[in-house]
Amino acid sequence: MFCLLLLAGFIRVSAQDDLLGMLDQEVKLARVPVDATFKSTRVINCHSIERMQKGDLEFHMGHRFGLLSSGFKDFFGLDESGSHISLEYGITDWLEAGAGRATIDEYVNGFLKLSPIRQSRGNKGIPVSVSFLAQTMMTTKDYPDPSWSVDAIHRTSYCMQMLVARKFAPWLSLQLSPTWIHRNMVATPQDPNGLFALGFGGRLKFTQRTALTCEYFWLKDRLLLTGAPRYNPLTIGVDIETGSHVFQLFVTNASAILENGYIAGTTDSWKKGELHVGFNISRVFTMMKKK
Amino acid sequence: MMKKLAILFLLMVVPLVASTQDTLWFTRSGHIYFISHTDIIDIDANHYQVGSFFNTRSGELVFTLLMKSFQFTLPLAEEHFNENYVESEKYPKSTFKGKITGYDPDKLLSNADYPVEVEGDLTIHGVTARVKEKGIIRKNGDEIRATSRFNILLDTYRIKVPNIVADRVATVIPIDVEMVYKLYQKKEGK
Repeated sequence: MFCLLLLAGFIRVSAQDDLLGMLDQEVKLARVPVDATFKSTRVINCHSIERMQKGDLEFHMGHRFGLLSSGFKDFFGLDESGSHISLEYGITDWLEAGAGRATIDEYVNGFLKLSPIRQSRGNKGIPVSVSFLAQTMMTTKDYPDPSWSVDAIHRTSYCMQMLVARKFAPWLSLQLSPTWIHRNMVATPQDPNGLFALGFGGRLKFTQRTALTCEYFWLKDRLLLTGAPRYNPLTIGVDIETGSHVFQLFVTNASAILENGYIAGTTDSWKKGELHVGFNISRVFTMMKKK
Repeated sequence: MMKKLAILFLLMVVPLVASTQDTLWFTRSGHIYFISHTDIIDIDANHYQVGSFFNTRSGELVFTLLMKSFQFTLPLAEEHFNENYVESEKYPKSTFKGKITGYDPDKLLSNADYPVEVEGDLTIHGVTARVKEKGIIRKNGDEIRATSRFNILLDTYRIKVPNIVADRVATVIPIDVEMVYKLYQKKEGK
């Protein structure tokens, strides 16, 4: 009894000596959100859990060149290219809206990204960040036979994604992206309208401003699709960051940039060496300062 | 016998603990502001959750803050600050532990500005440097107000600025500190 009291008293007195230690006890670690799971709103092709914060506007540009294997004649694919430009705006810290235009099949697209759950550390931390993406894509291309008057509904596809990511360490982030794509019109009655795919993405930061990135989609019913055989898209690249720009430079077998294209319509294969060089440039403008 | 001893011990220890507590002043909502001023862009941030103890008997001062809790005027600057400059995940806290040099408790009771010099160890970005800065303390009724303005050099704390943004980030950062202490009560706010 006495010893215990002595001990308690001693601990108390010695704790007083270490004011900084006492301060740590008093100021409990607050819950702090984890930043920069990915440095861009895209892992590479796929959207990442990241979004624009309130009042930030992103100008996003994607570019995919032709086949690397085309050799010198086409300058390794540089002569041919598909691109996509979009503007994406943070309405609130958890809601982003974007609209864009892709050259391949002349698509216009619009999306909403909801980011309700942010990974955070400290007291009552949250292990993952979750964003939901709802996207509509519509082709404005003329069909081969002008007598086909295809209405807007049939030109439209949808993509719903749940993006779940965790920054395991400052140098490692991983994302899982279950995806549902619905195409209102498909090539033949045998082609399924709805397609499920599971995306995997990762970022491995190796210097303060550069990271290795990788992304893969497994398309469940890819063998049911008619026409040219489809392949699962695999993309490997680097992120280079300079202030408010992020450059993403990569090699991929997917030539399309929008979800219905690169997930459901990739006809080139890594095994056959059918690869494309691509890049994304993201520039963020602050439209509204806090307070 | 045991009981008596225990009571005796309590009688001895309790006043001792109580008396040190009388001289401890505390805040968990101190304010720190800093600005990086260049011709191209001003980047500034506030922190409203600085924790600090001030021992009015010994003149000892300690501070602690979470780097992640700085609120920037530019949201993107906040991410860059944490991710690229101070590496908040690796070094989540910044601390100071020091003492007022030539401290005289009697000057604090005068209800007027007491200009002081504080010397101690400032830790930012995992680097600890010995600093000596001026400040003012003043007791007003049941609170003690402490303010200071001083500069830090990013170099001292090995915070690197890449060449490409060198003209956008100042190398000398002025820091404003404003603490309002209340008498410390254990288990405050519970």
